[in-house]
Amino acid sequence: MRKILLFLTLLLSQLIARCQVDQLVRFNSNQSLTVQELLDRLVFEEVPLIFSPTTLPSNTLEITRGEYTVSELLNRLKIYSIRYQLSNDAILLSIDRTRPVNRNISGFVRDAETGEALIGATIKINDGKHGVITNSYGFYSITFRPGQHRLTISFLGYPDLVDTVSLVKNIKKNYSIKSQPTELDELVIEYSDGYYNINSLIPGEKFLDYQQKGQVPYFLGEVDVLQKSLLLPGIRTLGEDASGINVRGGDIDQNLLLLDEAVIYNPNHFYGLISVFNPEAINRVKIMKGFIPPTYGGRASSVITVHQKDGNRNKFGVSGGVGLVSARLMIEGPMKKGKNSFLLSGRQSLYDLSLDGLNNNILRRSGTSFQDVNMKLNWDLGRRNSLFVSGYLGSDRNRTGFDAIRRWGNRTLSVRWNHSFGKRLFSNYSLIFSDYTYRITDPVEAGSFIGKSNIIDYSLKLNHQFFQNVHSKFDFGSDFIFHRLKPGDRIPFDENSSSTNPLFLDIEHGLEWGLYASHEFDFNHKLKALYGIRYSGQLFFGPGDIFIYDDSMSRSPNSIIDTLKFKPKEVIDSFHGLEPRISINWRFTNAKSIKMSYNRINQYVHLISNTASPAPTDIWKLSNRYVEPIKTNHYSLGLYQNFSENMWETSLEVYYKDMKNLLEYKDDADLFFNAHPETELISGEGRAYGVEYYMERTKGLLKGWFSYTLSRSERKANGEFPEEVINDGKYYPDDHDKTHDISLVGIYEFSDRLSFSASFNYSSGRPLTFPTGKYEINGTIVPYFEGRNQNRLTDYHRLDISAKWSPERKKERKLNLSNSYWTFTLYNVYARRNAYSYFFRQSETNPELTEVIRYSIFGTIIPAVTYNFKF
Amino acid sequence: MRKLYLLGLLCFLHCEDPIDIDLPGNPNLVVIEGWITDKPGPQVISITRTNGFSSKESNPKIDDASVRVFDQNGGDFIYTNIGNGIYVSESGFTGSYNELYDLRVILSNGDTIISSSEMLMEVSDIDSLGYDSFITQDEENPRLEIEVYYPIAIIKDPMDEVNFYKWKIFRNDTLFSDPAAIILQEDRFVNGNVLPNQFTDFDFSEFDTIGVEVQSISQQTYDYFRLFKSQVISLGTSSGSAPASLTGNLRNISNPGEKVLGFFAATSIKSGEQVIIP
Repeated sequence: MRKILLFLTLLLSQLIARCQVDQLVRFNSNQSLTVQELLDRLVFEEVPLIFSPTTLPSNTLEITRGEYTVSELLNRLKIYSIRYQLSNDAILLSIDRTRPVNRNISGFVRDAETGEALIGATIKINDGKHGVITNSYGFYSITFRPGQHRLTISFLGYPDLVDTVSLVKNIKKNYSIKSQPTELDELVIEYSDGYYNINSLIPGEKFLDYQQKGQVPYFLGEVDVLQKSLLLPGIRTLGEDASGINVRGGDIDQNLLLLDEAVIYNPNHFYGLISVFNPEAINRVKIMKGFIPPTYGGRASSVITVHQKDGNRNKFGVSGGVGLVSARLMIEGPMKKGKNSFLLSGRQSLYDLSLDGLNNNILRRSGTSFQDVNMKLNWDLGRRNSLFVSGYLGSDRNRTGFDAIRRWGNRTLSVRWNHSFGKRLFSNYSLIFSDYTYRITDPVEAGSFIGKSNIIDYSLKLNHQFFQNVHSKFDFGSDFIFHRLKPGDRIPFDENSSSTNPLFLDIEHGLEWGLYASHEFDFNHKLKALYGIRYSGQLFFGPGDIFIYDDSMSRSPNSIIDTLKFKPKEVIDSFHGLEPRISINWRFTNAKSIKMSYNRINQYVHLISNTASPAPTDIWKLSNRYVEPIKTNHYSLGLYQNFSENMWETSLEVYYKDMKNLLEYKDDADLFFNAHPETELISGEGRAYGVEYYMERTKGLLKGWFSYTLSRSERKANGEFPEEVINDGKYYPDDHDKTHDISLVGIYEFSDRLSFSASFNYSSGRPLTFPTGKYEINGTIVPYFEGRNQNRLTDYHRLDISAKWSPERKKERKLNLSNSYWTFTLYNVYARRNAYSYFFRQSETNPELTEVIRYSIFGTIIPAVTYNFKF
Repeated sequence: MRKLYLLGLLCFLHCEDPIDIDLPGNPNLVVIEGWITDKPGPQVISITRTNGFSSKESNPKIDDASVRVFDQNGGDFIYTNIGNGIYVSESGFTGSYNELYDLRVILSNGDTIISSSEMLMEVSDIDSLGYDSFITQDEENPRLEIEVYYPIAIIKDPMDEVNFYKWKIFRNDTLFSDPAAIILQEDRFVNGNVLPNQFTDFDFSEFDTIGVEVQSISQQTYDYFRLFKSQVISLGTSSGSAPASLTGNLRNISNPGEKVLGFFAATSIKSGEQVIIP
């Protein structure tokens, strides 16, 4: 009987428990509850639960309005490893102590309208500190504990997208976000996420972006990547007429300029006033100057990656513009809707441009024109693969004197294949062709000739990213560049030319290689680090001749004592070296961090140029025993802080950089068609150090920034022989050393259709050598110089303003030119005659006397107007 | 119209203004300029000193040095000072072809300055001197088309020698004296050929007399003038190279640390003349 009673009781309690499990619980509104809150609610509903509150996970569940059975609710806890079992009249909850297997979600983030990959978008998990950033193909991968998570995808110029995912198994998910309705046409420096600058492991990393209503004032209104970069701390140029940029004391050949992974050897059109990057075709530009991750190598000072737009995947579009200097047109659209797209863009200078107003004879005046073509195709090949083909074709033509013509240009073609192995391993394989060619034709006798030189690179890059989890990411891979460099061919202009001795300098062959691995991890949200190593080198191989010099005197054509002949593929010289790189970010509060970094970089190609600003016809040279690889060590320490919810971003950085094997030139260096340029070269070293302060207002109607750099950049050449010593072998400031450098930029959004901007630039005058005496030779007064760069020009300052205006939309029109706008620019508003240099010469009016002439490139105010359209 | 405006705009961008910088320093170095030519003497050598760049005075002259030129055959030519830093040889002294010459200067403080040896090589004759022309806009009145003439001088470069040339152009007996008008030429790419030199940067008009002089110079003189031109013409522009102290083939053997500026060169000179008859 007792047994029966016991059985009945058991049965009853089972039934009661069963009843409890089927009991309905009503939620009157959508709620998000923690596990604890949910269970408390069930207890409140008198569900007999037994559990230990201390071991509950802290996850949140989203529960939509409605009625649920207890078992339904409890089943949802399974993803947190919480299981229930019925026991007597209670429901016993137990937590599976075995660690849950992390799950992965990966995919791409794209623009909803155009399908353009969004590079550097942030994806945050549960609004916390965990987050990842999309790579340069818009790919992300997150490995996280199972459960329901809230993902917030943010990208500048786009509203945040919030998505809740149930991470119970691995997921592939692509996000398309819709941009806010702004005109997307200008490059503006911004970060994708309010804390990006605090969080990034690359101190001094900047994105130049296409996203804002206003724009900074540009010379002649031509939107330009490199011009804009000069408004950032630590980036400088010699002067207006100078080509290339100097980053933290580096030479202009020390910047790795990548256009869709292909190296651009000469980024200039039109005397360096306009860069080759056609803004119409550019998606995003990233500048790394404080730290260069091991993925990149081969240039000692900075990396500037320029990503071309993919082209709109959903609809056809045309955009373009006309300015005083050039006209641009871009066509984009899908080849198969939503799957792939193309982009084709061209730019053409409108006139034969000239900066040489002094020569009145029209036939002898120099003239310059240029063209660009950018192309990109991309295909989505299933979920795991995508393919990109991009190309660039640039050409410049410059006529000087009497029909002497120089043409030069970069050509690149890159084929890239993205593949994801599983969920966490993203790979990119690239095959790249890059070519820089110049050609000179001079028909004037005697010695009329055609000169040609080029550098061709065939590269293979194998890059992998392994997203271990949200705390840890690995990068590894390798790259190989086969250089084929033709230093110069000089052939007769035509059959009547007196230049019957053609010259074909030895072609240089080199294989530059690099292997790298790095690890980026996040330790308890406070400490992040990226550390790794790059092992790089170059084989310089035959066929070719190497001259052996008498080492008791400075190298000259007369000191050649022997010539070594090398057969094809025979290694002539080989260099290699380890390049450790480390960057640490300690984020001690949410909006404040300290970054420390160190990198070493070796550079195996050199631009040979002894003019103040390199000419397009200067040659490149591979490292050999006489021109050893450049080696730099760069240390940087920065404090980053944001204020008022990231409205203000500030940073203060100090750096020190030392550089070995920099090139200097002997006094009378003749580098043109020279079979042994090493006889004209001096090996020097350099050091650069400074403090950079940057403050930016990122929100509101008035945006802009202030940047201040206090720096010093010095050179030293102290060779064995008197010809190889500059300035008595002591350190001297290099040509682009500017002690103080200030930029102030403001962009004010007056209304949706009208914005104004202004930029002010101040810098100390650059060093110059003043004569210490004069004398007369051949009836001409000659200045006498000793020492180098011991004096300075007067300070440089300039104000530019611009306005951007979109005319009112006219809806009834067939062509919707809603995105068209005008820009009006005034360059050098107060018409300051900034000195580019001084001339020390015989007076033109009185030949008995001397005069000092301040030479300015732009001595006046320069207005410009451009019209841009998009439909 | 717009095009003209734009060209006008871009053309008047560069500007040059005189500014006032006082540069009083003076390294006080000796400067020698000396040529031995194949023209009948006397041969001339000048000796001066540097002074401050801003100095309004002309360079100090050295009139108390002893100046001698030696050849390989024991020839010893004594120069006499005629004031103003100028020293002249006896009138009979004319340079001989394929002869090596050396300069020796002894200053009043006893310092001895010597040159490296200079070979006097005969320069080829100007085989023919002609001209060609092109049509361009008149500078004052751009609507007017004018014909501009330029000289063409033909010489034959010797096959078995390395030759360097320096040219001078005269218009109606007036030398184009601007440093940019110094024309230097090497035969590296044109060795042994007939050289039809087109001097397209020199403008002539109808009935002008073209005068052309060609000189043979040594490689060191060629290098000196190449650097001289770059220092005097392009320094300070973006295509200019770094400032250099411009030293030639002279050195102070008593005081090797003391630089001697200038050069000593041997040269052969040939000339031609032609009137432009349309």
